[in-house]
Formats: sequence, structure tokens, C-alpha cells
Amino acid sequence: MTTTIFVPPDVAALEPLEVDSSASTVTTSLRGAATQVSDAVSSAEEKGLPPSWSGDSAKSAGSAMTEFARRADAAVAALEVAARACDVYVEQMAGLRLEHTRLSGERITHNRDVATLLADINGATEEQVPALQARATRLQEAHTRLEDDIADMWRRVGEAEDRLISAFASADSPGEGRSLADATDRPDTDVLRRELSDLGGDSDAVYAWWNSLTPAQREALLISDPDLVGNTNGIPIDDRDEANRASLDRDLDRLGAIPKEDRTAEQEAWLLRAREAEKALQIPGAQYDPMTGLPVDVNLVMYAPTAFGGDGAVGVAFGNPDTADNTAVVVPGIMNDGSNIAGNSEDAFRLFNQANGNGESTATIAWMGYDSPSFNPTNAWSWPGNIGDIGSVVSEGKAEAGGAALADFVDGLRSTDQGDRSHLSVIGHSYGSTTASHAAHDHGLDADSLTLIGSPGAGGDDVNHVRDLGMGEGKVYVGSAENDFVTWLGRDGELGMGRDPSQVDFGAKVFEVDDGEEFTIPTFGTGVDNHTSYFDANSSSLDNLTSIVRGDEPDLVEGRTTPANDRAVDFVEDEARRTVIEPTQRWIDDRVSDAQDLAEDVKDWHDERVEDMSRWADERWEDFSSLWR
Amino acid sequence: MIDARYPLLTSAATVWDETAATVRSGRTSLEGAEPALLGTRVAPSASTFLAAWEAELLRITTGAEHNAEALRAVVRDFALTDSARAAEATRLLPHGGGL
Repeated sequence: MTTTIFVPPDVAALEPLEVDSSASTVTTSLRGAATQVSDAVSSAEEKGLPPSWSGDSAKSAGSAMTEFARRADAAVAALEVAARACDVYVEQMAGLRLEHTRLSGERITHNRDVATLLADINGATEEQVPALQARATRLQEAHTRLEDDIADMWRRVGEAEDRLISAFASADSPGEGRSLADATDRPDTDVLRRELSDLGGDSDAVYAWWNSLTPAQREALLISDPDLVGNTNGIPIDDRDEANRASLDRDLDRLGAIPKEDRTAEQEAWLLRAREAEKALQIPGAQYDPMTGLPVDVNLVMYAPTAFGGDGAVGVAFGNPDTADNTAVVVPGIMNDGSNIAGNSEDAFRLFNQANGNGESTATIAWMGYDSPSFNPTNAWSWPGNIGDIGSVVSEGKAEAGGAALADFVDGLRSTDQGDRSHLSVIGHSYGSTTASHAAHDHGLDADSLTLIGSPGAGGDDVNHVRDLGMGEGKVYVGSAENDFVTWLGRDGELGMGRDPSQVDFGAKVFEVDDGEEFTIPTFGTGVDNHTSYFDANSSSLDNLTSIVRGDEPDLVEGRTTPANDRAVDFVEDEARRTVIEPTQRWIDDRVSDAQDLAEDVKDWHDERVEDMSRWADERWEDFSSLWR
Repeated sequence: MIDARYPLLTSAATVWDETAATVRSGRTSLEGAEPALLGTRVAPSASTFLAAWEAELLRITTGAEHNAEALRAVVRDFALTDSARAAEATRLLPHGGGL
């Protein structure tokens, strides 16, 4: 007897989705253009008609200004609509891309099950038919479900495309832009700005307020005030990133358009920081995340290139801190500012890459959000500009101010955190460790752990023990390379930046880091390398930082028992002995030896002269005597 | 009647120059957008939108530049008029050779 079992066919391969995350650059361009035209309107309205100008010409100029503002504002309104629609579209396509990946995987499984069933049917006995028939029925149901899901996904792709097409079509002429600008429900950005300002930096309140806005209100504020949106703690990271990228786009275009020879020193410094931020967003290797197979989600979480007298404030996140299971904020130290955020970002990215491989999502942030003692090229020899800035490294003033900013930033991350509470680590390097300590001691840093590496001191005369930092029990970690000279500086008082946190009696958990090579004054570069190697690939330090970021314990070692300053004194004494005392001794010995040689020479010369004289006298005596012979 | 001092007119011209530069820079941002990244179906409407606003921003920029140039021309005309008047007045003075 022949039995027929109906086996469903294979599911055809899915067409690829055309749109990926690079589509977000279109949104950035639209928003960047809108921001700049909006700036032009504000600037012209503010400066275009001086109050002292009156008469017919002033009326005429005012009329020209009004006409300009009207047309430019129409462009802003149209670009707002397009940017908002584009933003939504890219977000929807990101979700659909995940769906596409899921369905592609299900298709492969389904087709394999079909092949297995066909193989089982061939050569099956009559008794096996009912079971095979049941499997075929289940597979048919799965096949139908999968086909429906695939069709539904493509339907949603089509709908998303239609919405964006419709948005572009609704605003692609000056007349339509004018109507959008005149619409009574157009968001009033002055009111929104005032509302945000009234919240006074309370990041929880900012987050609640931001979420209460309509998408149109958020987009309008993002375009009119990208610097405000991008740098306000409590606004979600995605939105901060979009705002800051619009500002960055604006700066690169505007400053880049000015011929180099016409740029002022301030504009040159500003452009340098903008380009450095752009470089930080394009770190090699960030194009591919081994965890997801997608590009790493890089976010510009802070961008204020003219802050701190031109030093600039910039923050770059690898991964999204709002959704990551583990988040780390890395705080750089002296000689860092917005002009070298790319280098700091490489450190953060290395940590991200290593910490991200344990099945949990990670975000690491290079946070240059405080005024670190650094060098400002726009006023190289000014006092108290640059010289004062470098000089400030011996005091804690900037670390205290930076501590407040860091604590606020971390509060913002807590406010915007989604899902389960993220495990949040703060890692301060060098002067950044003093800054992070001040954040902990002075402001109650809301982090799960605090790590101090290459630390010149744990900040403040009131911090004498790890418990004074107010962190959780056993949640302060310290890494100090044996030959890192900066870790020899810890001391209290006006010339110190607090206790050396790696001392046993300080009570922190000291973890293993590589010692670094010994160095001398002529090889001081090696000493600097020892101080800047904590994030190096394949280092004990990076391994242990990775553990800390993941919430695991690092490899611990005994803390120091020799006071930090003793090491500095030993080094100075050794160097003084090697470079001053010993060479001086050698010089004196050489001079004594020279003097002895000279004395010998003089004596020889004298003896020879005496001998000559004696011989001459003898000869003259002979001559004289011969006269009488 | 014109009641404005030259520096005011010159400064107004500078404001228009800066305004033109800012809008031009916005247009550059727009030119950097790649419609193809939005997919085959969306790209044509995105291109139409971009072309329309690039053209409008160019017109706005040109208008601002024109305003700046017009103000500078007024300043130049005033200066010439003043010079002519001054020369005329000088000729009327005894030591100016007018008499």
C-alpha cells in the first residue's frame, strides 16, 4: 500500500534589506542643515538691525531682514519634518533588520527540518507513517506561519517607506515649508528651552520632561538648540548623540568652509577639536561588533568644543549606556582635552572590545567632560592661561570642579538607564582618578565601583581611608604600576592630591598591573609609557579592568607599604647621585689627576731647567777658568 | 532721508555676509546627504526634496550676499557724495581757490 505524506516546500531565501544604520547619516545631514539655517535666522534677527539705526533705510533693512527670516524659517520647518521622519524611519528599519535576521534564521531551521523529514520518510515503515504525518502537519503549520511573518515584515518595510516618501513629498517646496512654519501647532522652542532651564539640572526631572514631549517638539528643540540637548544630563543617549552629531556636522561644514589663512586662532582650535571628535567616532575596528555582527553603536554623548576656554569637552561612548548591561565611564587625566579625545576613545574602545565578549552587552565611555590641566594652543604663553593651566596640576581645584561634573554625568546615566539597572563602573586615570575620587567623596558618586589607576592621590585631605570615598564595601579598586612615577606623588597638603590609594592602610583592593620598565631621567619617556599603559592590549591591567567592568573580581595583590613619596625621593636621590654627584666626583677626580700630571710636568721641566743651568754654569766656569790657564 | 552712520551700514553688511556664509554652510550639509542610503523606493522622493531645498538655500544665500553688497554700495556712494560736496565747499572758500 502507498501512503502519501504532504511535506511543505522549502521557504525561499529572503531578499536583503537595503537600509542599514548608515542611513542615519541622512538624518544627520538634514538636521545639520536645519540647525545652521536656524542659527542664521537667530543671528540675523539679533544683530541685523541695530537700535540706533532709524529712518527709511532702517525700515528697508528691516523689511529685507523679515523677508530673509520668513524664507529661511520655511526651510527650517521643512527640514524639521524631513529629519524627524527620517529618524523614525531609520529606527523602524533597525527593528525590521533584527526581524529580518530572526526570520532568516528560522527559514534555515525550517528548511533543514523539511530535508530531515524527507530523509526519514524514505525507507520508513508503515508503522511510522502516523508519526511522520504528524510531523509533516506541524511543519506545514510552521511553514505557513513563517511565510506570514515574512510577508508581514515586508508589509511593514513598505509602510515605513511610504511614510517617509509622504513626509518628503509634504515639504519639498518653499510654499509647503511656509505652511509648515506658519502652522499653529508648530513647537515653540523658546518655551521648551525655558522649561528645560527651569528643571535646573535634575536629571530625573529632565528625563521625565523629555519623554513628555511630542516627537515634533523634541525634533524642533534638537534642531534649534543641539548644543543644549546634546549636553544635558537626563536626555537619552540616542537623542544626545543625534544632537551632538548635528552640532559636529555644523562645525565641520562652517569652519571648514573658512580658508585656513582666514581662520582665527580660536576657530582653528575649534575646528581641530571638531575633527578630533569626528576621528573618535570612526575608530578603526568599530565598524564590526563581534557580538552582534553589526557596526558598534558609537555615540557622541557630549560635544562642547569651545568649553573650558577652548580646551573643549567631549564624550564618546562605544555601545549604548542606556541599554547596556555593563557601563564604564573612563575619566582621563592631565594634558587631555577635546583635542585628543580620539586617543582616549581608543582606550575606551579597547576596554569595550574586551569586556563585550561575555554574552552581556557593554558600553564604555571616554569622558573628557571636565577641565583637566592641559595646554591651550590659542594662548600659549599667557598668564594665567596656559602657564596657569599647567600649573593647576599641582592643585586639586580642577579635580574638585570635575568631580561635580562627573557625578552629574553619572546621575544622568542612571536617569536614562532602561531595563534592568546597569552595572556602572567609573575608572579614573591619573588626575582623572583624583577627579573621580572627588566625585565620590564630595558628591556621592552613584556608581557600582570606583577604580583608580595611575593615581597621584585619592583627592582631598578628608580622604584618609577607602571608606571616606563612600562607595560600596569592597568596591574601590586601585591599579598602580611599580614604575609609574605619577603613583609616587600621593600626599596630603597644598602640594598633594591626596593619599596614595594603593597603600595597604588605605584599604582599597589593589589589583595586579604590569610593573613597567625602570627608567632614568634620560629615558623619562619610558616612565611616561609606564603611566599611560593601563589600557594596553594584552596587559594585566586591561584584563583586570575588564573583570571590574563586568562586575567580577580582578586579580588582587598586596598593597604598598612604602610611602608613595619615598619612592619619588629614592628616585630623585638615585638620579641626583647618577646625574650630579657621581659625574661631579668623576670631574673632580679627573681635575685632581690633571693637576697631578701638570705638577709632574712642571717638576720635570724645572729639573730639566736646573740641569740645563747647572750644565751652562759648569761650561761657563770652564770657559772662565781657561782664561787663566 | 537716510539717518545712519557709515559704521552701522558697514556692520549691517557684515551681518548679511555672515548670514550668507551660515546658510551656505547649511546647504553644504544638505549636499552631503546620500538619498540612496534610504533605499530604492525612497531615494527619488528624497532627491526631489533635497534638490528643492538646496535650490532655495542657494536663493536665500544669494539674496543675503546681494543685501550685503547693496549696503556696501550705499556706503561707497555716500563717501563719494561727501567727497564731492567737500570739494565743492572747498572751492567756495577763499583759500580753496574758488574766488
